[in-house]
Amino acid sequence: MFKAVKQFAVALTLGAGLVLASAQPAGAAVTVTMTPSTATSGSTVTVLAASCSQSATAIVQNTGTNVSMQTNNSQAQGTFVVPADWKVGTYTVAVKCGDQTANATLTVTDGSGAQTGSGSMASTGPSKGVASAIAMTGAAVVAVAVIGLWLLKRRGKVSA
Amino acid sequence: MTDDQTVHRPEPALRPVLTLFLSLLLAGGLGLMIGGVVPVPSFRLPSWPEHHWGDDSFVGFDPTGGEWLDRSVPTRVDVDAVDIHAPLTDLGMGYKGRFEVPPLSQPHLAGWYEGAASPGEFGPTVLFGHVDSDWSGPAVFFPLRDLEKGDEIEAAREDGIVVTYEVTGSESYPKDKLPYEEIFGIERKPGLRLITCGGRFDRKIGDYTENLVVFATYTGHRGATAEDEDRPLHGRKHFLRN
Repeated sequence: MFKAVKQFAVALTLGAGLVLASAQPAGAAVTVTMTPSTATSGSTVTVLAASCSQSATAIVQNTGTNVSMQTNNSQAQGTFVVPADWKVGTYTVAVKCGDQTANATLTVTDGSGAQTGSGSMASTGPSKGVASAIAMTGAAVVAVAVIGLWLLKRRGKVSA
Repeated sequence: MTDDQTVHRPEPALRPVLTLFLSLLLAGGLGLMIGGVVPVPSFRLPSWPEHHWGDDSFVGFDPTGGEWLDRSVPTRVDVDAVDIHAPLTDLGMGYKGRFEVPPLSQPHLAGWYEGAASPGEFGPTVLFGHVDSDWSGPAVFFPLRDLEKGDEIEAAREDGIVVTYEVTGSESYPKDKLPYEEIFGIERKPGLRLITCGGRFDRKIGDYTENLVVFATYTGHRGATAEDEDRPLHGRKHFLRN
């Protein structure tokens, strides 16, 4: 009984090894990475497929976007720009490398920042009192300058 | 011109000088008046963080090339340098494609953005936290402004691994111009970004104008020690003391 189980396990291991070896000579599964992995309309997204040395295509599902990728040093790479008409949400990006397929997820946001505060500790520049004091000082300086210029002009005329 | 004239007149040669001086005074005064009323936009020199690369070559950016960890949800973040000891919640996409943030009623809570990597996994890990709340005054990520290059950040994961990072820099960006590649892009090592609010608070829209982003890079990981397990966690009460 025990022997049978052991033989079965060996057979399984051998079988798995054969499957792996025939699927990818390099021995590693294709891994898809996107950079950036979260984007917004107008962002340039690069799709990378590691352990892929064959011609590859990236497909952004439900969008009709197909990106042909260039392979260099068993890494395939392709880029696309997120169009303005894509809805916010998550998109599955599938890379077909030879007869293998691997996925990664792209998140598309509305492009706004994170609302991480209520403003209770906000410093909003000079406070209202200080700001109006500056404005009043400015007004006083303007008044002095205008009176000075007016006097200068008037007395200049007298002397002429 | 006679001496019996009582009106004191400036010398003719002095008049253009006086005119110029008074004109400058006029301009300065007007400047003060305008400056006192109109808010001055914050000025910032353009900068390229160190991890920016010039072309689109990602050779060497290999997710299978390092001793990176598998995915495991982070549970807390610790920054001893600025006394951050925060529990983490999971965050996804919020209303209409905005970033989800922790509830303002939980000012002690930071959040892990599920759309990016988990700590130690290849790619960037992104944590959001409030800078302030009406309940607490300063909130969980208020001290981010005091972080300096070289400070250590630790993120603990559900699987008992603590991942350590080193701060490489921080930058404040207008909210509608977040650099997605800098924040959500890959680097040679796993990265960490802590994000909170910065800039001015715009009372008209009820929101801050900028996001402060702290960038950090992976330095290592360890199994959680007894010391790690016993570390205090700043709960809600820690922030409601004010």
